[in-house]
Formats: sequence, structure tokens, C-alpha cells
Amino acid sequence: MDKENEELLPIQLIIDAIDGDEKAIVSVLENYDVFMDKVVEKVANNMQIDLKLLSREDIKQETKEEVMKGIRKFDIKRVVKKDGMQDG
Amino acid sequence: MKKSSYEPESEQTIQHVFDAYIKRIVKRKITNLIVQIIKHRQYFDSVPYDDVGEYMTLSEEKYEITKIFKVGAEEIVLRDEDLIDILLTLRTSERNVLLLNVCANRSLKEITQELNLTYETVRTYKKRALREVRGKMECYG
Repeated sequence: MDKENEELLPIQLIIDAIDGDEKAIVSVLENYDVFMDKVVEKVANNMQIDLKLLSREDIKQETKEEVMKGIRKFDIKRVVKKDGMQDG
Repeated sequence: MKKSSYEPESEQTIQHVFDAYIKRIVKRKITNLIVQIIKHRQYFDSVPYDDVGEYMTLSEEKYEITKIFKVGAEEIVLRDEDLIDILLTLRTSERNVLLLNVCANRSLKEITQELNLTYETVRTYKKRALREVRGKMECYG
């Protein structure tokens, strides 16, 4: 497995999260926590906002809710079908 | 815990698409939230009413996601984040053909001269690039 793939979530965790397994969803969110931090920092820097003025925890909390909703909408079958079509 | 019933190739695709999907949600949500925070801050900072609207627009524009693709002498500016992400996954040669044809209004014949490729190659690159873009746009919803 190359370095890029090592950073991806295990497939079973993704499947369980999509199936609504709460533990798996929490684990997905934890995995993206560092990414969220980086994005908050990047966006704030781009907008020349002092990070001290932002409640990062509030932002992350709201973002997590959005991600949870998103996970439930992720259509795994469509991805597999598309992949199969491309191979064929 | 159940065992995955997907083929290894499909598993990898799912992992990549899922990763991009979650990151996209995170980026959008955070950007929207920070824009909202800026708007509120401007309001409460007692900026004269007439200036508030202008300042908000400037703030949003400052974060507008843009990408300049340089193809030969042409500089093509794109602002659609989804499209930029997808175009970056294409092979450079295919992306260049698509950008010149669709965004810079070059005919396939003109592209053959500009990129020093045969007509058939340009046609194939465009076809492949379009298929990739359409496929990925459907995947990402």
C-alpha cells in the first residue's frame, strides 16, 4: 500500500459508518478532526481573520453535524457501479 | 463487524471517493461558517450601514476559490471548486485539450497546432477527459 492510501480510512469503517453504526461515525469524525483544524486555520488565514476571534470548537462542532448528515447520504453503490463502468 | 464484500479495486475507489466527499463537506461548511462570522462581526463592529454590504462582498470574494490553468500561452481561470478538483485528477494532456476546447473556444484543429498533436489524438483526449469529468461529477453528486 502506498503512502497516500495509508491515510485513507479502512473500508470496513466507511461501510459501518454509512450503515449508521454510531461508533464508526464517531471514529470517522475523529479521523477528520485534524483536517478540520487545518481547514479552519487555512480559511481564517485566507480571510485575514485572527484565529483567537473564532470559536474553533463551535465551528468544529457544527461541521461535525454536517459531516454526520453527509455520511448518511453517501451512496456507496453508485461509486462501485461507476467504478465498474469505467473498468468496462 | 461485517466483512466487506467489495472487490479490492472497488474498495480503494470507495475509500478515495469517501475521503474527497467528507473533505468537501468539511471545507464548505467551515468556509460558510467563517463567512457568517465575518458578516456578524462587521455588523457588530458598527461599520456604517452603507459600507457593510460592500465589505461583506469583499470578504467573500477574498476567499473565492480560483485556479489558473496555464495551457501554452493561454491562462484559463476557473472558479468552480468541484470542477477544479476533478480537472486536477485528469492527465495533463487531456486536461489541456479540454480546457482549450471548452474554455478557450479553440477548435480541435487549432489545438493540434498549439499542442503539436495529431487530430486523432486531440479528439481521443477530449473524449476521455469529458467522460472522466462527467463520471466524476455524477459520483460526487
